Amino acid sequence: MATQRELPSATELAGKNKVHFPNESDAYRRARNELLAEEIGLRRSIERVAELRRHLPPGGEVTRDYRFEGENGPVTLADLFGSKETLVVYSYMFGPQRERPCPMCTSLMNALDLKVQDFEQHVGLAMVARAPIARLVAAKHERGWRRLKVYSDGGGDFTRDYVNAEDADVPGYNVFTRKGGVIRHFWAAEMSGEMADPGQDPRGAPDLDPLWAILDTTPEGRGATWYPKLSYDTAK
Amino acid sequence: MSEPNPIRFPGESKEYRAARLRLLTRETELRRAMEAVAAERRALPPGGVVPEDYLFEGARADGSIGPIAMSELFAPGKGTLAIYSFMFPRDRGDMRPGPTQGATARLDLAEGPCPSCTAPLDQLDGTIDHASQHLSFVVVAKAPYTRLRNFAEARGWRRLRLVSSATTSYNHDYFGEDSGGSQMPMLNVFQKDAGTLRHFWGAELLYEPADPGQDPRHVGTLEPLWNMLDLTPGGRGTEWEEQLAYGCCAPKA
Repeated sequence: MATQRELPSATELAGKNKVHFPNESDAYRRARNELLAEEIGLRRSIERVAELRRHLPPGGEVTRDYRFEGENGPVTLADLFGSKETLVVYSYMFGPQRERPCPMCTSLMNALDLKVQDFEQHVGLAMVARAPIARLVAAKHERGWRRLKVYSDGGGDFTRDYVNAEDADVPGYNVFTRKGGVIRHFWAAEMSGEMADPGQDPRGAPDLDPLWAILDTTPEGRGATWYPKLSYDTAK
Repeated sequence: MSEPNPIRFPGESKEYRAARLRLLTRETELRRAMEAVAAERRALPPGGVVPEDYLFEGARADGSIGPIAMSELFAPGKGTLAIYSFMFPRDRGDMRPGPTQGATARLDLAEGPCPSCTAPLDQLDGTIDHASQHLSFVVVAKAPYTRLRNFAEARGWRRLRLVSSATTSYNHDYFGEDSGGSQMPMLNVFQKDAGTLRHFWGAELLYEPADPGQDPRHVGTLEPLWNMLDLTPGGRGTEWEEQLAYGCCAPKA
């Protein structure tokens, strides 16, 4: 892969841009080309961070035999890999104390549901929560999900080890690898609420939910106080 | 970040933690860079006035199929419209298999939908209810409306609004089509301000050279698929492309 030094600068590339939209002003084009250079720089930053991630030293070995309850019965963490060497586990906020799953977590899951087959070309993909499996399945049907695989961590061992030691009602995102029968932790989303910048909710980089990425392309942006809901235009 | 990060995973080494904290700093910088680019986008001068109220074809409010003006694609009370130009028909050189079931399967391959455009739309279908609280999101394609509807139904899309641009110059004017007439996967955002339609932003990265070994990533951060693969040891891969169906598990029509 070419290093950043070998690449033409973002400003040089943006300077070659030939796009002009109907009736745009010179001021718009100047500002848009400056923004374009920033967008190219951002694209490269995303790539650089992903590369750093891939070069992490091996993560801790998973030595406990975590067990989950799936839609078709009990499974182990190893089972969740399927035939793949990488496993993505999203821990969504749906503990026994909640009547319904977290709207922010389900917003991301809405976007993933139709894409499960694409993901499974690369990785195992499991959605894990603390509530009993029957409730996870009922909520899955209520949301209209067809392909996401949900698993209950009823005992909470996995959640306490990899999401929150106090079993707090928080989301988690963990990636594991399996090589030669050894399962290791690879990476987790570690950007917590304390690391949020002023006026912002906790957000990752990249931000997995396309909802936010779309709002970032609009004049209004994300808004500081708006949150996804489980439904709109109804009493709830 | 005054408090030290308390996170430690079972069995992790000192080397892992040191490297992870360095990466965390870079991730924080990336988050700020994303925010800065979005802020710069919001600070753009007003874009060009849309030259005509383009007439698309699609399902109208009363359920009939007929012409719909671009100004009508803004939902009531919404001032922002995002239009994704869906390559349907696909690129002429795209030999990936077409759908095997439903009416779309009977089209010539070259007349059918692009698998790489289908992939983000699969994901955005689940996002529309939320996004529609803020903006109107519409998918435009050159194929006749009945073809769009048939494909959307077979694909299981329930929320995306699709309209045909067969009879307008929209795709040509807004870079959803190249000079040779091939369809291009462009995303544009428009604003309605006191009845005037203006362009706000287009994903112009599509027309910039990609970095070596990469596809154009002009709507890159919109797709959880790519973002999530960036979080795995295997990364995105340079050879892999989305397909309309995989092996055993073709979606039911």
